[in-house]
Amino acid sequence: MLVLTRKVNEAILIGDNIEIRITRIDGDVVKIGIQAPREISILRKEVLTELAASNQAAAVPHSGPGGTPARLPSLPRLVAPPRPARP
Amino acid sequence: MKVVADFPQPPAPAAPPALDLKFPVGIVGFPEHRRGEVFHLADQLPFQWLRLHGPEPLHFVVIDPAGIVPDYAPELFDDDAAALGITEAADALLLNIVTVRDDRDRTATVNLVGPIVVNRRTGVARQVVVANYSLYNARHPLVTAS
Repeated sequence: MLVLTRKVNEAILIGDNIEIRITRIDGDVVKIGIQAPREISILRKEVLTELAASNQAAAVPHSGPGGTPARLPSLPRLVAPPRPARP
Repeated sequence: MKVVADFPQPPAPAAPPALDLKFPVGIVGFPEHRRGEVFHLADQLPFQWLRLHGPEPLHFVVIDPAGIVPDYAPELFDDDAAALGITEAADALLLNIVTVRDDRDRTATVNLVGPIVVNRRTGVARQVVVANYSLYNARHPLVTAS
């Protein structure tokens, strides 16, 4: 991993069109400004970590080679009927 | 009010009408599951099943959030929309994964941060992080309307 030292208001360029700027440092909190093309997705990494954990938790065990779920939750009781569309 | 799930013995899964899906990069945490299908059992709607094929079959409970989760308005990142070939909202089918917890309370939550987005025309599907993810919860409790 490349590690660079930057001061407040200094920036890093990645490729032609991504700029990362340190905008503020307050104790152990760093505010970072990012300029990038709209088509580049920018995520807090913990969002993806949480998504992977959520997928793991949601996977329904299957019972055997046939691949059918071991148990099917009785689902219709879970939620109220759909609400009417909002105007 | 929290909702409570109930776990009876499984009904025999008949051959239900299914929508075939292609996941070019799998879903988050399951990169090898590249194909799948969505099907439902009539008495379980609005819940549906997502079955993924990979090293081992995986099943998820999913819902189309329209009308179920009030005020849910996910936005796609441009690169996700491009990877899916989606140019207008009508092309997209949303499926949000439901976690049913088989513990004492047996609650159910729905992941609003990372829906599976399907291109209805091509069947290409991808689990995305919505661009406005900070508005939503990956463990949104499913609650009754009352």
